[in-house]
Amino acid sequence: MSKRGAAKSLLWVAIFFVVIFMPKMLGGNQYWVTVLALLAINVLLVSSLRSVTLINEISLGQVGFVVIGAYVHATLMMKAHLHFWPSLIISALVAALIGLILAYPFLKVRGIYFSILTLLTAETFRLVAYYWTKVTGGSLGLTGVPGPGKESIPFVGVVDFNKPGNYYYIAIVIIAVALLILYYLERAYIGFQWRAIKDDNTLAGAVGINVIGYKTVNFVIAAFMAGLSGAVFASFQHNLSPDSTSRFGVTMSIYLLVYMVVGGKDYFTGPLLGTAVLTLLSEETRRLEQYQPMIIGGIAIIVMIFMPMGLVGLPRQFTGWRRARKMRTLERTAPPTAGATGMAAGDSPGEA
Amino acid sequence: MSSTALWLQSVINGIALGWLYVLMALGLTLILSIMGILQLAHGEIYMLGAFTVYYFVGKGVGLYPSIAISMVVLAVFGVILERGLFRSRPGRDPVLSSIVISTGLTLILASAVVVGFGLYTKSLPYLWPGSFKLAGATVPKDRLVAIGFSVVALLLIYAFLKRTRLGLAMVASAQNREGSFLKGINPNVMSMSAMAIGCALAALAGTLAGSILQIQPYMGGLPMIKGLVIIVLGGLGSIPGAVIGGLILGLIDGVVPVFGGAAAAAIAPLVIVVLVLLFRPKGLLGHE
Repeated sequence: MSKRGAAKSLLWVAIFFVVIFMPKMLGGNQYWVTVLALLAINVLLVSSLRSVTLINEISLGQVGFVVIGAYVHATLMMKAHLHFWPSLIISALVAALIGLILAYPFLKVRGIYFSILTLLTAETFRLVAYYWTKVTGGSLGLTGVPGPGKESIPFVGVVDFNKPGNYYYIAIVIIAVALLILYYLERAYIGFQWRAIKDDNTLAGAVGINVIGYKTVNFVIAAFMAGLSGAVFASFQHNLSPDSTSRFGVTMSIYLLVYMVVGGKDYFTGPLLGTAVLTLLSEETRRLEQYQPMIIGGIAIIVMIFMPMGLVGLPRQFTGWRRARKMRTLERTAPPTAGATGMAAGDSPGEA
Repeated sequence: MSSTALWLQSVINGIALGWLYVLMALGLTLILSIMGILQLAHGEIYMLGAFTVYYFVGKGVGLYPSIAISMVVLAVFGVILERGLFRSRPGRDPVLSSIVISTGLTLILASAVVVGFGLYTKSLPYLWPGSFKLAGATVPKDRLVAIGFSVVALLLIYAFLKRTRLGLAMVASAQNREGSFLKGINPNVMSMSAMAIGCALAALAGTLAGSILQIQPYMGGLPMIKGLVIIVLGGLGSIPGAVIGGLILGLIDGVVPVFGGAAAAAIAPLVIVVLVLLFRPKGLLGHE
């Protein structure tokens, strides 16, 4: 294993231990456990958003599927008295099904239009939750969404997973599995099809890739993951509110996008880092109250203008700058023939 | 109240709302077709327009002069935004960067207004106080004023785009940016004009809506989404399409909640957009 690979796996081990022992280190501080669990849920959500960027589209509608997942999960557990796990899977599948229905008309259009339609979807689902009082509790929302309850686990004994400190581990396991699936999909055969579609939609169609089909699969998987995160959220928070200032409002879609871009949308770890950094920053700046959105918005604009590859992309950006400066000095000092090779090196990717 | 009167009243409300949406859609379609960007902070421009009027009315300026001032202020603000943030630079993905920058701007502007004016809803003076009876229905006069303003603004824009040199240059730039550049039309000037006009229209729409309803820092989100949906519905760059789309969405918002329930009204735009996209992917009156 190379030195870099070793450093990378060491980093993952460190992250693993931090994630597992963080609640213990915080001494069972309820507030921070809640922050961490919401952070983990947001990571999955942002990763689902990033998964749509693999087909070169920007979805502003992941929050809509979160609404579906959360409300279906809540209804199944409260009205149909289903157990936690089947309800979780069914609600994610319902979100995926709705994604499938919407995928065909939505994926016929591209770019800005796709973003507009997904934004409309998110707001529509929230408003339906707001007004469809009989099923969703209307503007008051649903309260008392049950958690997974007590379960006995070998070697550990009976654990009450309704406690936030314990539910945290369930959320972490679900989200880790979901992220692994997304990770392997990106590197599987289908991931290459998506990359081909991203690079050139028309060319991909011309070489025999079923463009609409693979895009649909991508969108449905993203909807599934968003629905899953919604269901995990519903059982964690125990109450759902469709208010425009809640987690289901347009503002949340905006925050998710900012998390992704700040982390770096071209990297799988981007959503992880971006969400973690900005969530901690929001917690640190909480006392600034109404000035807080300004800071997040300012960061979004600055990152977009000055570091388009995000935080994870920073080392590469620095390498690009160094190479560019080295080339400039080479051009100044070397004879014209060396300048030509310098130009060729400049064409290689690295900058941008 | 008889059922015809109820119908009439909700239709008039719907048309008034629809025209406000048309104003939003006009600005957005200008910006989108000329600059090729998605300006998600347009709803905040709408809100800022209303708050600028609120500020000047509070200073003792009349409502109508305040509207004019607000439109000019926001037009200048739009030019500044174009020059400072939205102008395309080489190596930048225009779609993603415009979405992220404008969403960041949304957060900044909304929280700036919360800091400056507080979270509570406020109201503007009536455009024209009182109401009159029409076939048993009570029609507030300010709805008619709002419709009148919107129609005049639309006709002015239409004449501007079809009759003046700058307007024709903007149409040319929207049709083919590179081609019109070769003919000596500066795309950056066209983008600035589009932002200026779009922001002035949004300020007007925000003021009219704020006077009919109320103003608060988060009032812009929904009209912005409606404006964007109108563009998809009517077809990009088509002014008649924007009018038809706006009236459809306005009538849905005015009539459906009264007779079919609010949940049906919430889901209707999505259903209509999906149906339109299935049969006419370029929008009702759109063309490539």
